[in-house]
Amino acid sequence: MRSRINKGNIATIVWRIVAVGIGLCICMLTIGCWDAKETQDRNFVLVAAIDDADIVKKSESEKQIAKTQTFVQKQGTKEYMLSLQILKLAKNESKGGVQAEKTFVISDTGKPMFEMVRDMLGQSSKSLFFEHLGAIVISEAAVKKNGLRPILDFFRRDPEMRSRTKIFITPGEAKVIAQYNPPTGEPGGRYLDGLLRNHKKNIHVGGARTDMGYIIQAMDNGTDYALPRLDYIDNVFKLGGVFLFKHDVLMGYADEYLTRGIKFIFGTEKSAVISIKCPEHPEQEIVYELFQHDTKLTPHIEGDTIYFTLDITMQGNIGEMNCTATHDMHDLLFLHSIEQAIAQDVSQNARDYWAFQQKLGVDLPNAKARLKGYHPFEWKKIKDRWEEIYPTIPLIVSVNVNIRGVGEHD
Amino acid sequence: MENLERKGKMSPWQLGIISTSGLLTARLLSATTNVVIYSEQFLWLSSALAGVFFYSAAYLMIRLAEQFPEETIGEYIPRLVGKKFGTIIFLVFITVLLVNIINCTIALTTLSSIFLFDRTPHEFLVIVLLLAVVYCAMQNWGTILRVIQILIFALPMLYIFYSLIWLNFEPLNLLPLWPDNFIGILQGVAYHTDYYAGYESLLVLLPLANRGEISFARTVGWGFLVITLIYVFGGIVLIGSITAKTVELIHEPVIYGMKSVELPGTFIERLENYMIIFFIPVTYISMALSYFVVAEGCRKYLKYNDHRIFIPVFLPLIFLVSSFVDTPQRQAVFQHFSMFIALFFSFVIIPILLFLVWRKKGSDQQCEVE
Repeated sequence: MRSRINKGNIATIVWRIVAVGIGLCICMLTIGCWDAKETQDRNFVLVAAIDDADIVKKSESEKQIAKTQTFVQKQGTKEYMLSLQILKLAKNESKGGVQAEKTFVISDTGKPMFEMVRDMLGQSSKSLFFEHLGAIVISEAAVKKNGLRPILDFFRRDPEMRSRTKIFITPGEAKVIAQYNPPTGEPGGRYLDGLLRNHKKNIHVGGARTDMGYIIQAMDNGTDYALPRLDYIDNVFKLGGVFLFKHDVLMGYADEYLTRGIKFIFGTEKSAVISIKCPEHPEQEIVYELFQHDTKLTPHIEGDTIYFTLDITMQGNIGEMNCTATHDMHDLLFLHSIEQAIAQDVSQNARDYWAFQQKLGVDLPNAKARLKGYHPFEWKKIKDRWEEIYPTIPLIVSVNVNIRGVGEHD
Repeated sequence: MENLERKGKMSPWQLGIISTSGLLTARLLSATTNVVIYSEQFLWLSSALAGVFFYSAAYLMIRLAEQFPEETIGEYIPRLVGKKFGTIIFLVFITVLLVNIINCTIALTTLSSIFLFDRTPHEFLVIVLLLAVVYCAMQNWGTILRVIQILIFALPMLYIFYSLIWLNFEPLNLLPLWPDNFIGILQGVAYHTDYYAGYESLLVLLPLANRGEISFARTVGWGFLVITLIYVFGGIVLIGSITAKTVELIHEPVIYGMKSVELPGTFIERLENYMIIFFIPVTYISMALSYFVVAEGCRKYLKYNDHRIFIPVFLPLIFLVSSFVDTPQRQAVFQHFSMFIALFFSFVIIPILLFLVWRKKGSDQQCEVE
């Protein structure tokens, strides 16, 4: 045996032992889970609510609390109050039959969101984890202060954030929305996320292209955007209408009727309902349930005239008839008159919204990009005068409505 | 039964597949931003032109290598341009491939440190990846070939997964279709070196391929066509989903595009993490292949019997550079250096060498250089 171990073999054996040793050391260092962070060691943030710090501090007690929920800073101002709704991971115990709250809220005041988040660790025993952030609620007052970009910068810069996080604007206080515990028992973030997911069925809610990803894209491209309005009074939530932004500035509010117009232009509702007056009994109403909606917004240039055409095709059912008298639903003329009435209503609504946005100077359907895309050479001639031309551009609407069914029972 | 590990040769189709499968790596993730800064929404057009551009370089390399069928670049270069210039050209060749390995390492570790292992020191991510690559490159060619042929299935998986971005596609983002900045599109072509990296390995791999009825130019051309189509459609869907302006402003636009995908009605979330996982084997192919080619090229050049001796030689260099280039500024500088050296090798050195061969031989017959 000894005779077989010559010098060369010893060197090989030593080298192999060293290599195995190095390999083991590297394995120890690399499989050591540097990034291990157990679920119970994290505080999951579900809602971020941002308020104007000056408005939130109303009463004396709130002023005292606000003094605790902040930090001494050498520079900058205390412009915003950031409140985070955090999921309680501990098992809920009901008190007297009442379900215990699943979330709690911590707040801080300052200006940079990241600084406030880090300062909040003074109120949280665990690190704050944003991967499950479902909603960002911002008060109208906070948005009016410096625009939306400074508020959202932290959320768009951090890779931990999701692209499909919902954003809401509330005319009231955002913090109370974060404090709300839904009756369904869901955590607030999931509840808000779910509220907006229903936008396809609710023609009064603008929910398409209003999440983080789309708003970031709109900011990057310098295009205008809309964010849904969320009202909260006395434990009652209500989504309806949208706030319109030009670049980064809040320009105005489009109510539920105008929001309908936006949705008709974009074609983003899938099972929404449209109510019109009954052609034979104008005091009564007929409800049309939409299940297929195609739109095409096209720019045209003829000589010096620029106009847009909007072609809408709708397919749907009669969902409800309030008329006290019965109608013959096999009467094709009557059905056609309903189709005509719906088409007129949709057409008028789209035109009303178009005029409204022109008045505000907002270009939500991105008419500028459409004109540039379809007519690049003509665009070069008019691009410097666009702001002046845009309010004068007419919209010609053509609506084709089809009634596919009249419901299960006539 | 044939011992596949001892198999030292491959078919022309295998050559085409292997050499072009190494083109698509995680390098394209950050490079896309640079390309779009110039070519804007015409990323797809820029990628298509780049496919033709870089295939022309690969074609010239194949023509050059065909003049010396049984030799690698390190063996015939000294006879063509003299020992001194031959050494310099060989060093440039080795540098191009080492730079590819370093860039792949940087791309994968940066990606991992942002999205997966944010608290693991960068150096540890680098060393783990490099050790895995070294392990593969230390094998003989038959084994490496098999490893690549197995890992190559990650490529269609990656593309199918990436195709989910179509869910967010909006045609308006691609308009106008008529390009008005041709200069920008051409500038974007040059920045595609990260999209088409590593085909230089053909200069060492060609002698390992059996000559058949199908020409190498054709098999490699098919590989380039497939990869180019992947890039073209990938570019269309990326710009259509997240707009050219957004691509310009983010570091890993492909990952960001994936982040925006939400599969309705499923529990699968954060799809970008799955995509990163697919990028690891795809990039690994290019790294292992380039590392083997570097070692094999050195073996032939210095007339050694075993390529494995050269593997540990380059490891400290790759590790140090990959660890040092860990800030966006350094990465930008290194990316430019990589681009210029790769373009210089492919479009200056190779045409000159080919010209010298043709002048020396006076025809395109096989070379019998003294």
